[in-house]
Amino acid sequence: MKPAATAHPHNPWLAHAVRIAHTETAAPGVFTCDLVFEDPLTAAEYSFSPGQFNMLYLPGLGEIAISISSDPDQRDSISHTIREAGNVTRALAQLPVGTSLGLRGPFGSSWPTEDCVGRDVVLVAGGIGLAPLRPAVCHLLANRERYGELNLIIGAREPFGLLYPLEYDAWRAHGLNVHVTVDRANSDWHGAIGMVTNVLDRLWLRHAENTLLMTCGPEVMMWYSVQMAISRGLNPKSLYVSLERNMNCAIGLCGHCQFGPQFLCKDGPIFRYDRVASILKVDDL
Amino acid sequence: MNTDQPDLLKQLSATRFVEGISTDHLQCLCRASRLLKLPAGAKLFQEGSIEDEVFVISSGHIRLSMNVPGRGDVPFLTTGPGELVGWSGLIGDGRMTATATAIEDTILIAMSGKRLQELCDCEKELGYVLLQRVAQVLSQRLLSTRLQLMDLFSGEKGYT
Repeated sequence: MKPAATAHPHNPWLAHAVRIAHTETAAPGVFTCDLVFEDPLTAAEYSFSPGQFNMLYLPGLGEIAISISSDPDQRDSISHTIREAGNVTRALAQLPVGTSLGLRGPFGSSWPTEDCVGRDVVLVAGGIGLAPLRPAVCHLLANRERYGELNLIIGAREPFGLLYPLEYDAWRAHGLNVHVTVDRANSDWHGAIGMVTNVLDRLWLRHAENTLLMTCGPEVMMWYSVQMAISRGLNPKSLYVSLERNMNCAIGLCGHCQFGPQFLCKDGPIFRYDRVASILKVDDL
Repeated sequence: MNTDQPDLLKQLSATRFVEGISTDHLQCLCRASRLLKLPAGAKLFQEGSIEDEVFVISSGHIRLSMNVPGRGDVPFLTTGPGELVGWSGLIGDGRMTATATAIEDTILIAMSGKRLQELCDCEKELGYVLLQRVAQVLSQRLLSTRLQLMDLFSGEKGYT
């Protein structure tokens, strides 16, 4: 019998053995965990698209859905940037390098990078919402010549809550305009203060009608970013949001993440705005 | 028009604040305006001071802050090109509710609040459009403040 670890990686029920290769603090209460497959064949077969997520399984504790935050072209490990928010994430933060855990995935829809070809792109990330957008950033910059003007607006609560700050200069050098803004700061902070919507409001757009926007962060932030984008002349069919609900099975069977007629784990988490606009502001959905 | 600053009309026309305003009205606005260049770090106005002018940012960025005893200068908003600062000079009593500092070399169009008010009284159509723009600025500022108050990033669990 073929050992489970070398079975086809697209069997959605199969948890592959992965090992923690590296863990580091990304911001207060947030850490980035790099995982490597125990089985080289699985590692070779595994691939994901920007915006997809994995289910990470800690025996005895449970399983959680975490978006992938590494470069999709990076083959040696898979990164997840995780906020310590519950039992599983808190336990995961404490695990030493070398610990084994289970991984199912990748799951879900991805950012529409193919639709970005030949167009200007605006990415709006709030807080830990930059993590699922980072693979898209890597992909866009790796194929920089295929896209028009690229802008990334990053919002955070405070300057020390910014994710991946050491990468911004390299992103800028590769042709991405990075705009950073924080909700609160002291006078030592020389960057912008205010919401991402303020930055979006004054962003110079060459061709609003040919600009695509992707946003990930608190739903209220995404909602107002989308409203601002529409007021700036972007087409509602060119706006993409990443929605968050309680994902359990990752294949649309358990119903925990049902959002109107959709299952976020299977049909999402990334949706074109106009396809979910009518249900975004429905109470308790 | 202020002939000492021939590019005033050009600078003003290029700002989003006056988008859609007729050339005649823009020229009226220029007569009440001057171009102001601030080096990085220079103060535009001080919280509590009384100012007659209202400013539209042409290029650069202005930081707004308030002095809080025990905490010093607390910045709360950065404004950029096309945005309005110092609106108390137009619709309030002229007493500034924040300190405004250029965080980089900044060019502003400074408009006399008194002359703008006179202009709005004479040119009702321009007055209507101008106050509509100011209301939009205030509405946007109010929304941003609300979102900041909600502290959206503090309760994040993460995104999948």
